[in-house]
Amino acid sequence: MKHLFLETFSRVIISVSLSFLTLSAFGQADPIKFGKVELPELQMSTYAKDTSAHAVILCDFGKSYFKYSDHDGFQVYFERQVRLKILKKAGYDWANVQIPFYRVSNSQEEEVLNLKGYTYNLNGKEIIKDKLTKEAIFDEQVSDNWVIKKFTMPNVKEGSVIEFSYTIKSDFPFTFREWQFQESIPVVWSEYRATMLEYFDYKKLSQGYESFSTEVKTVTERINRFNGDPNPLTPQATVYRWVAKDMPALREEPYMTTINDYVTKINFELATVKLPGQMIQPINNTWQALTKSLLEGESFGLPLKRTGFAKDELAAISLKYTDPVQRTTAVYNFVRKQVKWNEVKQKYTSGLKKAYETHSGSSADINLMLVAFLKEVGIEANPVILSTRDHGRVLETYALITKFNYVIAHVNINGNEFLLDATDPVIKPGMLPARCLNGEGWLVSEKNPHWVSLQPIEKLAHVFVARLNVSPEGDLKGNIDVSDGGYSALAMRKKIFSEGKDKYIETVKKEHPEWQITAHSFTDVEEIDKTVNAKYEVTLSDFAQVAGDMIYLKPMLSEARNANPFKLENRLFPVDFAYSVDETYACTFTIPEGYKVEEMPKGAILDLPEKTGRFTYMVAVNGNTIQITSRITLKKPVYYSEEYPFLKEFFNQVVAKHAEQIVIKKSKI
Amino acid sequence: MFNIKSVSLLLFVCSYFRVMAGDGNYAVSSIPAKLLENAYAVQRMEEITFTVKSPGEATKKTRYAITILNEKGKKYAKAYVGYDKLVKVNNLQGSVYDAQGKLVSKLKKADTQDVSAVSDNSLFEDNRMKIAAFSYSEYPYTVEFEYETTSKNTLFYPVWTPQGAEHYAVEQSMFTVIMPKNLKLRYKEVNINQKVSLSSVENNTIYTWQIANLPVFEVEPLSAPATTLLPIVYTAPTDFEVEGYQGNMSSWQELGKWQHKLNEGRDVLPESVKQKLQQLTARETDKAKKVKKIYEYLQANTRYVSIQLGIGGWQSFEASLVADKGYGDCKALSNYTKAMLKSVGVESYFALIKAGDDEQDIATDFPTMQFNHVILCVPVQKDTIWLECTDQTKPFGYMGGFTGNRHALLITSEGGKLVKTPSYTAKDNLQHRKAEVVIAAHGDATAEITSVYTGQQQDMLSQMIYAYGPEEQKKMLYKSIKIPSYEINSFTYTHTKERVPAVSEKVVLNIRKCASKSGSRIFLTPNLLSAISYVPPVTENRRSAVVLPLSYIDTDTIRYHVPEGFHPEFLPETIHYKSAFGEYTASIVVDRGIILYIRKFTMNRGTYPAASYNELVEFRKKVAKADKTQIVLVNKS
Repeated sequence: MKHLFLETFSRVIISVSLSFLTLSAFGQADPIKFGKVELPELQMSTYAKDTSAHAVILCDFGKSYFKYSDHDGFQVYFERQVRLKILKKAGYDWANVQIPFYRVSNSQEEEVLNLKGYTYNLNGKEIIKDKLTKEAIFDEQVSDNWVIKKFTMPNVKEGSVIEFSYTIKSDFPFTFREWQFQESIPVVWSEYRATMLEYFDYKKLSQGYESFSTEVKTVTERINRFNGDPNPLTPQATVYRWVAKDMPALREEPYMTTINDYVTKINFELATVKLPGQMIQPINNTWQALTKSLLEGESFGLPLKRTGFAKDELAAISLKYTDPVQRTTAVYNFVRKQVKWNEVKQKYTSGLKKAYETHSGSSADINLMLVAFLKEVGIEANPVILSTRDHGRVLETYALITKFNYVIAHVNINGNEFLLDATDPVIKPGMLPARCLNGEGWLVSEKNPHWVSLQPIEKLAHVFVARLNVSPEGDLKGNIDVSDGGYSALAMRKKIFSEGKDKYIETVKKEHPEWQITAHSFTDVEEIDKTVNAKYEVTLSDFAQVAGDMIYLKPMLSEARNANPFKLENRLFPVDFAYSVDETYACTFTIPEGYKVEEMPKGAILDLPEKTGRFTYMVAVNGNTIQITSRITLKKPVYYSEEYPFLKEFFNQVVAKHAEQIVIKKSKI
Repeated sequence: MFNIKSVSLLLFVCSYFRVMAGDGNYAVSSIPAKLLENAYAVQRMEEITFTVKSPGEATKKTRYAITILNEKGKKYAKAYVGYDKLVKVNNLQGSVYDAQGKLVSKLKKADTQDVSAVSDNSLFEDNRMKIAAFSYSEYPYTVEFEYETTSKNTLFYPVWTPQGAEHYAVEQSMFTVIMPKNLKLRYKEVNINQKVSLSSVENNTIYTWQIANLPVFEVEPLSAPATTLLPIVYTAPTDFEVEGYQGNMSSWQELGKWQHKLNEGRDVLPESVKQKLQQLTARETDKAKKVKKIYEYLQANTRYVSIQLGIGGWQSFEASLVADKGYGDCKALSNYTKAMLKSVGVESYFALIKAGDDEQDIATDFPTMQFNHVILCVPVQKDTIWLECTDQTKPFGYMGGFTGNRHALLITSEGGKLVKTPSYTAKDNLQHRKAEVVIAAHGDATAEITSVYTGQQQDMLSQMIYAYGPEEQKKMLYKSIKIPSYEINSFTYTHTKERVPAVSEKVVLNIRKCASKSGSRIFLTPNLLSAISYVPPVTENRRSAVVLPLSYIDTDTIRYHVPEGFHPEFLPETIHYKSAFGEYTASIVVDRGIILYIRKFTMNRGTYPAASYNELVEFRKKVAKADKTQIVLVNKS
């Protein structure tokens, strides 16, 4: 059993981190000794591997282990020692340190012990040492259960080396501390050692784009439960040692889900507790167990069966709608109307009835209510738990409930399956808000729990069609029709629903100062299944310049892509757009009598490798009309970093094409 | 960098913690229609009663009800009550009512959170906050809150801002101050039509202000701060006391005496530091140079760490502590610098100031603790040097937009003295740009650009170059350069630390399609980097004066090397616009394969009449359009 577990564990490590080396010798000495700061560390003035670093962590060393006391039972200890170098003034913030810890009551708490620290400065060849003293240490109670220990180091200057260490004693074995190998500054050496007893089985989960090494060995511990215990406990202990060297600084890039998905780290979740002489207590170590515990839970599964508070309303819906699709839609709209989302992302409800009555609730309150109501009216519906984009990704290998923070509804009508999220008042049925588009979700059902894809079924679809007459003075007059579907429609509807059409048209005017709008109308704003359409009657200035008998025309008008969204040369992480994109632009210009086209851009077709994206651009002249079409499609919601240079070049060419102009000239007759 | 506890916190408290008293009829139908127009929330009633017990103690009772009309008014449904070591919250109650005014529920214990309210730039403060909120949210609904605070800090009396936000209408608000007859209330009414009414009960004088039926207001672009346009009553004590320190603020001089007393005797340096400073300055005979040496020593050996506890919100750390630990906040570091200067025979003054870019100056006619920061003022011969002691990279004597052009209160042994800090003119705030651009036949180009930013135009940039390494600097450059498609080949920054400092930025770019080519023509927009982007929106019936916060001059001199064989087909005329707000010229000269573009744009800081707003819009519009004009070149071969 144990063996099997270890095997899976190393497989994951290999698949996530790129290289994987095992050190031959194990039982290594500690990587640093507190107080033994070396002269070269103080003399160093830049960090050669990253000369832009303001500060660098020379060594970050942590240990976690268990201790037993007669009074408190098992406790987890976490020791940490950090040595860091301040290189520039901008790195001074690293001399202010925060240690968060958790406290429920005196017997259920974490304690920060043995906090000590020194700042080392160089005066010629002499090392000057300043101690962290207690007036520079503070406890800030940030919320009911969270406290932050804060401290600031003395006499920090450019060139200082700072060292501090502390121990956290914890009454909570479920918070075995995770280890982050990477920071926003470089880390020269990061090492974490964990001694885990067979009594507590943790799942280990690592992630990131940098590699670290792992060593494992097994020893037998000896635990005296009291002084002179004749039968000491002799559990098997597994000792891990994880080491990462030369970690680069972690830097944020555009189009990312959350930086937490990209940092190299390892964390732990308690899977089972098996104390001597007791039954195994599984925490949730399989998807089946997790599913079962959710379904039997007071704040998840059980409320799905209690819908009495809305009995009459649901009966009325059942009576009115016999078609299952219509019935589902009716329940969906009923829940959306009844309860407003309070912006809280949750997987556990704090009470369906309460949310129903106060008209306000979290994602769990709303969507578990939706599932419960659908079940009540005879529709096959189940909850799907997921992790939102800002909460990070979920790995399918381990059933870790803490990786989820949200729940939506899954509906199956005669084999036709779709997902519903009732937190959004204007989204069309089956479409998910962008925050939910994050890999896969776990469908929680008794009979057939499984993964469901959260891939968007809709894209960002935007169509811009204009018919304009060009006057000899350079004015463009005519109509513009804009039609939005999918995520583009959602954004527009949200604005109109929250601010009204008048405010919306003001925004349009603000965003398009060159448009003089003389009339406008919107259609299908309320018909959320359809694309939403806007029509404008306009006069446009600024897009045609008259010079003698010539007119220079910017045919993409205000819709030209005038900047490449990808400017940086390189990219380490994938580009995550969340959904695919389809933008179409078509404009027909009627040129003034007596003019003809002197010069015009050439057409172009450009594909991304493997046809994952395409740009088409066409210009056609027909008598006194010029027709311009431009279409950009990006078929994938996520592009890998290897595709980045292509994506960047793709947009370079779009920008260049969109800037091209048409020259028309009065014919000399 | 702000680190004296200031009135601005209280302003925040008052504007968000709306309060009051009514007849308990909260039916939405009884709100007058004109108050609903464009409103997100309507304050139904508010009653603030401030009772002064003695020079050192006061209580404040607050009661109010707000109808939340929609999602956007939701932020007013929570009550935020701040407290600290000197201010206690005695009880906090609340109720929520539905649209008909029917009670839905009362505030329960679980509905109130108690959180730390340490500001972002501080390591530690004793500020905390109670936050009360209901889960009910079927619009419209009404929340009612009531609480009392007891304060042993009488440095601040309330500021009554009955209407503190946009889209927020007020049905009724009342503010009462109860003063013992032996103490004198000071107050300042701003935009108040119905002046104070006075009455007398036993040994107290009662001051009451009331206001009713204020429809929503909207902040207009480029206007003075809302606090100068809305009804506000500032109140203040004559005599006050904080943690045993008694004071009087009837004049700036008296307030200064109190601050002086707080810091008295806290400027003693260890002998070893004194000796070091003696050595450091021994060879300097010029006073200003001595000051500079000391300032550089400060910058190299200390850093900014803010810790605010009780009277420590206003009182400096001992200079000896800063000498020992190498850190402190603005008070501590200014006091430390003052002590260091004293040890080398230079006198200087602690100066209280309201710091911040675009901050409204203090009300000079109403002496109160309106400050949030401390700097140091050093008179030398005929000059005055101002020192920002919390910044390790700021040029010696430069204030910039953070503390320049406003009043500061100098603390002398005779008390406080209000003085004006230097202001920076258009000639100080420059952006001088020169570029050589070589265009190839297909339209791509390489550009070598040198931009020199001075004075307030370098404030952000100079901070950026110290705060970020080259990699982040490059990312910032990519964000700031508004060319459609380009790559940065190389870049460098140089900071010249003068009294008016300059940042010089040299950039070499490869520009894709710098000129757009269609067949035999190329199109070039000659304003490569300086096109203005902000045109204020056209509005009807402008009500408030137009405020332009910064004077500056931007110049561009760009030489384009045109590809062989191309000749101008279309060249724009020289453009010149002049208005009260500024002046603009742009011209193009062609000389044998070189197109020279020269632009100069000046804007003048000032307050202009409301009626001139549309002229400003027109002026900026014309400039924005001129910045977009293009040149057409044709290859006739």
